[in-house]
Amino acid sequence: MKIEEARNHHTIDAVIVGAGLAGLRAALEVAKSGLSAAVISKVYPTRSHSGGAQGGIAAALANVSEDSLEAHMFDTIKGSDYLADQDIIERFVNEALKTVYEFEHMGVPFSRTADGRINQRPFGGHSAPRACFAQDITGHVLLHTLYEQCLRHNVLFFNEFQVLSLLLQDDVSRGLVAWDIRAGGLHIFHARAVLLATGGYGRAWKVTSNAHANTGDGVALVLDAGLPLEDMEFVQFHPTGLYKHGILLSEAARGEGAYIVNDKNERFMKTYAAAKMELAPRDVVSRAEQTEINEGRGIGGRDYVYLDLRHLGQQKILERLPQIYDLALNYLKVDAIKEPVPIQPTAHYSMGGIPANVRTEVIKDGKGTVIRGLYTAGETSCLSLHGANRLGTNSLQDAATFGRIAGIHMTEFCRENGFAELPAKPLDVAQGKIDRLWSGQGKERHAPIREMLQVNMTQTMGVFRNQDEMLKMLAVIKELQERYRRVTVDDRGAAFNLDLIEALELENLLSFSEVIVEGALARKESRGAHFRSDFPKRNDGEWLRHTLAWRRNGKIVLDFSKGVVIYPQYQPQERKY
Amino acid sequence: MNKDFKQTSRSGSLAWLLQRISAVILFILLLLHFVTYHFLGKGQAVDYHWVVSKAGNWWFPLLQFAFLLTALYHGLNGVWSVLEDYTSSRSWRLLWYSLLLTVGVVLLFVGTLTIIKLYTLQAA
Amino acid sequence: MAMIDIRVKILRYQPGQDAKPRWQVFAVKVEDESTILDVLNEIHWQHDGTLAYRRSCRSSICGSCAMKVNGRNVLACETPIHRFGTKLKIEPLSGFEIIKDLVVDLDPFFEKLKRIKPYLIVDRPMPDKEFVQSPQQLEQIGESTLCILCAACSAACPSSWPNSDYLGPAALLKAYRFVFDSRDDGADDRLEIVNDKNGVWRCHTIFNCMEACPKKIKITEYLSRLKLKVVENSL
Repeated sequence: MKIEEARNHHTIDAVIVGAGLAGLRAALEVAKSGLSAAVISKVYPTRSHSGGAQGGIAAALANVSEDSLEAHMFDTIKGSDYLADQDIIERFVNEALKTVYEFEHMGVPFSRTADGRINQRPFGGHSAPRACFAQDITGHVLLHTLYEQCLRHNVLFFNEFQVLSLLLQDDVSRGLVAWDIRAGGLHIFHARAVLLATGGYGRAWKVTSNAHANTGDGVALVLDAGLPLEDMEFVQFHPTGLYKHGILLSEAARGEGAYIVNDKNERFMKTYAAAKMELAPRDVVSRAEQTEINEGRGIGGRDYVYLDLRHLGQQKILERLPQIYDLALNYLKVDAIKEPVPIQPTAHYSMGGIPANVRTEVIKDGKGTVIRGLYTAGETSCLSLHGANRLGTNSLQDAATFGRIAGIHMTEFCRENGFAELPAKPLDVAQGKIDRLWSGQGKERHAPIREMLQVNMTQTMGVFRNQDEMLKMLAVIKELQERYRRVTVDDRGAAFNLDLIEALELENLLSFSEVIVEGALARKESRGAHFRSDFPKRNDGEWLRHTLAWRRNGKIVLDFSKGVVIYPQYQPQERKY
Repeated sequence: MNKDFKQTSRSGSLAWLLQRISAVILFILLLLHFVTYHFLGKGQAVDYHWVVSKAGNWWFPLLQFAFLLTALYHGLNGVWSVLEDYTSSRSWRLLWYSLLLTVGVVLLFVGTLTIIKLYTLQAA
Repeated sequence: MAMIDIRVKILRYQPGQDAKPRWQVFAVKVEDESTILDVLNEIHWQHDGTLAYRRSCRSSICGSCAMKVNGRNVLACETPIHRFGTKLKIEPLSGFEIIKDLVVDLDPFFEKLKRIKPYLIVDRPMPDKEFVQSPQQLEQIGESTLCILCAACSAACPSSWPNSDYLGPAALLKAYRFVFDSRDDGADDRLEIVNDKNGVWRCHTIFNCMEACPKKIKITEYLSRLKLKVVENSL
């Protein structure tokens, strides 16, 4: 082997893609067992978008009022509009307390009650104050704490690497190929086990709370590898995105008592969810908001409503919600102590993703056949814990808990299995992607294509959907995919080629967006975050099942054979708040 | 013990502490200086004769000497801490340090001599 | 909202092409409410694809986009252009090696962080539930946990510029964060590490770090408390 090849060839027990909460938690678990664990991330680990989570992490600690695991379980099931798999939720709530205490023991600076215990606040869809929080920077402190623990336990970090292909053969994962963003060049990672924890895919929308990095690379890789995606049409729109920017203003604001009002200064949630008001689940609040806007009751008839914090008072705002205060001030020049903050629904969380079982093993069909050595956790996975709509603060808990579970199972797997042989010519797929963008003769550039995709996705695949709009969207995607073939990049340099990375990401966006639209078109019902004006009712008879989607011969193939795991005591009911 | 960053042989905590202590002493001495020179004088001009007239008191040379010592230490230690930031090589550091030390010793010598001279001038 | 013409001068460096960094001026039309990041995106997407910079969250929490604008270290994503007018001068953070354009090598920055044992050290048995920590005890470290490791502070620190061995404000702030955490037992170790001319003693309370900090953390004040703690501990 030549020296150059050796430098770019890594043999590591467990390779984890993504340095958010799920990835780091898994890496920590593997590294603690003494095996080698490497985290591959597009960004420095502390830049991961888990850090953007603000409001809290759910666990029924019952520190400030009565609570129970059963209540957490039922709230999550109801929140999911009964599409979530209840065996997954059971495991989730059973592990949630441990996850939080573990975080506390690692040093997370949770906000405290007067008697020094972890404080908890109410959150949408939860029947008790269940969100353990650190001011409104919960995700940030969890992420940094996990990173610190990973440093302590000698997790290897490959920062600023973009994964370009999975090395799979005969349903066995063998590793992956990644591009070194900083220096340029392809690297082969030969691994016993691989975890995909690449986060959400909200960047397909123009108005989104997601980071630039959230381009759904994991789901696109899986689709590329001939494996299915699950429930991709379910995307959560957060009701309190900062107007125009889409940046997240945490639900914690409403947890602390903030109002949402329309042009007539009415708390309009009383018409939509009289009991829970602003603390109804996000799909309900976002729909209410969009309805008000569509019916002309947005502020000044425009496309936003107000989040009003003023009655909370200066002290509470600055103590509990300092980040929200700063964001409104910096981006909109709005002083939330004195003025209401303009907000609109923003694409926020991807309920769909890579299908996996309760052991976080990636599955390849409705029967649950496992791809050996390939795991997934966090937002990129679809276990399905959140079903058709996620409850706030369940995502951090999901990422951390199933990150740990993934770490445990990966460790077991690595102990029992050797390194599966690499496929012949492992670099070819990845090299092909780079070469095409560098040597192509086309005149298209990636930026306008991405802009067009995002603008159209926001227009047609938002809070309300209908067949006509979605068919148009599908046509747009087809056209953009065609144009993408002619994309070349300006920058031909190896080092930190942002142009190249953005073009590669766009390929991913175009790839999975088609799955989202196809799934949404096929699902002729309204459930959770997926609302069709032309089919406004939930239809349990036909659609109480998961969507699986493959790309075969360039076409999206759908399959609805995967049912929902439902326990006798938690049968679907009408969902009211 | 984690030693994998270039730690220096000396911690610097003593220098930091003494710098603060000398600053406090300097501040007190400065107050005393103002009081004795400018307020107790009751409008008298501070000139050679006035200084010579005070120099005979037992506390005057003592005050002067304390002032000399702390001001020299505080000033030179301050300059040294700045120089340290910008010189990483051992030999340069040694050179600067020796230079400052020499300056300190010379000034201390000259200053002490002056105080003694003043005192003995009055006594004589 | 209105479109305005602005003049953006960017320090460019393309490895392999440029012997040393050079200035390039772009004339662009942007919305008056744009942020620095919007401007960079506009240039990168519409004018010159070869421009490189880091960005991710857009909401001043990930710390990717710290850079120098008109002489001040800022997060590009949260800084509106009207703060500087219609003439912008954008450079990479000082004190770090430039990889390309506005992208600098932050590995040394993260390496320094590792050296202060940046994790909670507990020598006692763990409690069944959480440690008891009063709101007052939390208050001691609360603000310091806001640090997003954007490196704006270290890049603004005159003590860091001439001396690459100095731990710098971010790592020292992290040391403070753990030394003053009521749950931590590792203070002795950490205090010994920072008790060095390349540790806390190279901080001359210049306050640049504090001024540069996008999270408005009172870094200098916390480092002063750390110094006192070191002295207390060694007496």
